[in-house]
Amino acid sequence: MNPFVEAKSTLKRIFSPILFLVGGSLFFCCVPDGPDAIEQIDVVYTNHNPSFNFSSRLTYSLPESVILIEQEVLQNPDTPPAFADFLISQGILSSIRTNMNARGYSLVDVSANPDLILLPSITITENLRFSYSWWYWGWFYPNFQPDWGWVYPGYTPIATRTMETGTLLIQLSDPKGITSDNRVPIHWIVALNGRISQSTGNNLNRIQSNIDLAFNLSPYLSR
Amino acid sequence: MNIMKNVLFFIAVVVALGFSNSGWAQSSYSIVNFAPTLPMGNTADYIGVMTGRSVNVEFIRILEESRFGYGIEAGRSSFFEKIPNRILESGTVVASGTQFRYINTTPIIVSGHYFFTESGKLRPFASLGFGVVFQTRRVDMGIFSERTTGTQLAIRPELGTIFQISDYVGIKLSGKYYQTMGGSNLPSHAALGFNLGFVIIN
Repeated sequence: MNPFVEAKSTLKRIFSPILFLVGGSLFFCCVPDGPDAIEQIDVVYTNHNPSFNFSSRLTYSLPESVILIEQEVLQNPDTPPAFADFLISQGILSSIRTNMNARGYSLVDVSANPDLILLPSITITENLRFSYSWWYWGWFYPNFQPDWGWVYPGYTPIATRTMETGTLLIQLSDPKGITSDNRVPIHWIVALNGRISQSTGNNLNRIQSNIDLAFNLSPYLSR
Repeated sequence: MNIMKNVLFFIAVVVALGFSNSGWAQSSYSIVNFAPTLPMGNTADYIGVMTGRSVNVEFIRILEESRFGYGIEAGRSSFFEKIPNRILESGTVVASGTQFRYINTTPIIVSGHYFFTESGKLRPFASLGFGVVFQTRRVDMGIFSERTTGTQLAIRPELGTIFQISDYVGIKLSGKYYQTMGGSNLPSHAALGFNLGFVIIN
């Protein structure tokens, strides 16, 4: 056989498999796009008790600080939670105050027997936790008893996987509605979840705009 | 240096083969297609953006002394669309965030082909294929992610042409329409693929 024709024959035999190998490898090159800005990862989640009459309440109270629940705190229940960064903490409380006041509720001291108590906390954990230990708020909640717990009447809060994210949880509790088995009803929950950036200002801006959004997504929370 | 020499030799032989003219019988086409794909129907309702992340390989055998052939195709298409500030409501839950929607499809199709010419540089054809499409839909919103997979029966008509550059190399241009049957967990998938293929003719 002509050597050139023989070379062609050999090449044809190997070329088709190469062609399919290249094509096959292209299957795995199709990497899709993803988020390209930190704000695009932010999620605002709200849930509420549909049978609770939010408009019948008048006063609310807020703690002076936002608590910080880290993984160590969850693993060691005897460890008291720390407080969040002062600027972040005050920014969060300010946004909650502004929105609650705008919806007709009046801020009172916790000792003045408020109708509602809002409990903001930041978690940096592997799970979103709404049913975290009750005693984290023992330093603030009036008439605190060690055997108290939360209850979510009429709805189920989420628990899902997170990855190096920070979550601001806001729970709206009803201190006058404590059940016979010492459970404090939580009628509204908010989870603001997003990746924590290196900039406190960026984190705070995103948190505050997302708090506003959470209130806007909850029109029932109004007098 | 030796590797470079071998690579250059390989390229030279390929070019030589591509432009040489021997009397071999042309009984099959091996094709790699770049396939920009436009979502249609239910798929367009979910993701409306055309994708360039799409490729498929085909092998077509032509029956001797006939205009008919049969073939097999395997491919992959990745659709993506970002939908900012999407609000989702489900019962008492309201969630808001930027949604990242993905659809990955992997069709495996067997097909029958009819060529409108028996020979010549330009060989227009029509084909009809049947097979399955493995489909995965995923939506990410922040930390929340929902993924649904399904395997659906598919029909795939195609109209196109193969332009023969030389005895052993050609280019393929075609349009393929993929339509699947909806299942219980995923709606039907429809897409129009524009194929630009590199053809090895045997």
